[in-house]
Amino acid sequence: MGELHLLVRTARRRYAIRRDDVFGIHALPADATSDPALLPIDLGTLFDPGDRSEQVRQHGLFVPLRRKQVVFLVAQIDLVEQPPPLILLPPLLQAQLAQPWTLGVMMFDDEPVIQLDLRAIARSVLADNR
Amino acid sequence: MATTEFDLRSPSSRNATVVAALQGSDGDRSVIMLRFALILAATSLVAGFILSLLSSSGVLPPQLTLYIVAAMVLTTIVYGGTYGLVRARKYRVAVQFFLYGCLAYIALLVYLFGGSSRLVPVAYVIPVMVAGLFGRSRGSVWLFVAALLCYSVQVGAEVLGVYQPPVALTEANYLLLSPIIFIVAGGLMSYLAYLWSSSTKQFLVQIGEQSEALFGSNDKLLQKNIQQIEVGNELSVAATELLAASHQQASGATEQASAVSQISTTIEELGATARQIAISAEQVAQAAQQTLENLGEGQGAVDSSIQAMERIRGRMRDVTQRVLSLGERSQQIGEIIDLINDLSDETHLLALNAAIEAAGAGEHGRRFAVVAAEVKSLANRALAAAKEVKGVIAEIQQATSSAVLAAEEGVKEVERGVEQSHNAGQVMDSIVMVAERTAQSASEISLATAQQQSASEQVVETMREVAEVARQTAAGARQMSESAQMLSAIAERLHGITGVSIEGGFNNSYGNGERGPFSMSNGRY
Repeated sequence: MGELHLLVRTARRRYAIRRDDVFGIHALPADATSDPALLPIDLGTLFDPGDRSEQVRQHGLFVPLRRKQVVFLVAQIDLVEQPPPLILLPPLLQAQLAQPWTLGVMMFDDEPVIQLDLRAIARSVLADNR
Repeated sequence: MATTEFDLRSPSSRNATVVAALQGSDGDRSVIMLRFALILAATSLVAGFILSLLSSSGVLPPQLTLYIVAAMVLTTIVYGGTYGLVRARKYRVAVQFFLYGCLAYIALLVYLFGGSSRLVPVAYVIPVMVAGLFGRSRGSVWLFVAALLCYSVQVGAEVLGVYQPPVALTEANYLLLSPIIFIVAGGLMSYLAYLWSSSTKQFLVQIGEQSEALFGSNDKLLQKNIQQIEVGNELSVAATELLAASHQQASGATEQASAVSQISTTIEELGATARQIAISAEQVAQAAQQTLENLGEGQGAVDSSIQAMERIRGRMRDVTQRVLSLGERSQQIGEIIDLINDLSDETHLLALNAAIEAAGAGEHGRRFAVVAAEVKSLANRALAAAKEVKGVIAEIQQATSSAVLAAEEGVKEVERGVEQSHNAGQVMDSIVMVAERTAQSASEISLATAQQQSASEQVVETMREVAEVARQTAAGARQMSESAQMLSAIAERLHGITGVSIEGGFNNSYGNGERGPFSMSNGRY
């Protein structure tokens, strides 16, 4: 049995995330913005400002770090028990990335979906947010 | 000249009157004769008294006294008879009585004092001269004939020796009597001369006064003639002006008659127009009345429309309330659906976490994973259904909102309709008021035109009367023109008459057109 992956949907795109990068999956509480221990980040707009979801109720992917929990908000989360094979980035290309936020690409329904390194993203966002 | 009556004025004034009237009044002559008779009687009495004294003193024969008394009686009779006849207004007889009485007295004296051969017969001249100076022209002739006859008889008697003096007088007596006779005869002659001279003087004075009066009259007459000429000229000018004025008046009257005729025609046309206006005004009044009736019906329809609009507005408000209520219910349903959606989403997350956990449990969690998958599926189906319901509810809410908006628009439209109906009602009220005013104005116009028609008829009648007056005025002007022409002719004649008088002499005071004795053309007065 392979590693579990989560297929998340934003308003426009889909991303693949490793299950182990996420500590918990919950709906974002109403007082999440006022909690200093939480850092909610809209995953769609993080990569594309135009990928803004109008959905009121969003699902949170909790990634605990040393000081805070970064919560990536997405429209929908599905469990992928048998994920397709990961197509890694070429080593030279991978080496040229300043931020190693992606690991490779997976094909879902004949459509390539980028697999994100959610923990690396959480760290970068938290570092930029200081 | 008026007949001079016997008066007892002073002798001087009577002389003037008598002398002035010598040529035409027996009364005046009789007065002269009466005064001569008085002088004769007085002289006879004085002389007789003297002779009587001489006779009684023996200077003259005593027989002479009887004859002297007879002479005195005779002269008294002459005077008394003359006086009585004058009082009886028998002037001509009085004159004759005195003259022939005087002649008889002289004849008596001639007979008494020596016959025709003595001085006494000279006294026959006295009555003849009196008759010639103061009597009628032929009276002196007849009196002279009578005196001549008496003298002839006495001469014949003396020649035949029949005459014998009644009293034998001596030459001394004659010498004594001669002065007395001379004094008596001379006195009478003197008185006669005095009377004649004074009368002549007075007569000349009166002639002068009368001449002056005549000259004054002539001057006045001349002035009057001049004034008459001026008046004639003014009359001619006035007649000419009157003629021109009468012509102008006749022309004006004719033009006035023509103008009045034209005015009458115009006013008759005006009356016909007024009748036409009255008919039109009546038609307008009927149309206005019909409009009022129609407007009454229209006003009722507008009121009904307003009431219907009010009902529609109430219904629309009710519908709006109901739709709003339905929208609120839909909102509640939406909230429930949201709750269901939340629950489904939580269920989905729970199923996801359960599946994750089941997958983490391996073979032990296989059944649990199936259940989690089923729960997840149910949750997804619930989410889909909730989403679908929410879409329907959204459509319902949208439809409800549209219905509410439509209802509100309908209410607004109804309110606008009500307002427009009210406006229409107000317009109808205004139209009714205007129509009433129109009907009233039409009635007033009809009444005014009727009055105008009546007034125009009266004016036409009056104009006819004016035309008649103008025609009468024209006729009067023509008559005036004829009168002016006659007046002008009279003025010309007057001018001609006065011009002839100046050139040919003035008329006498009697106005008979004969040339007077003092006419200016004679060159003497």
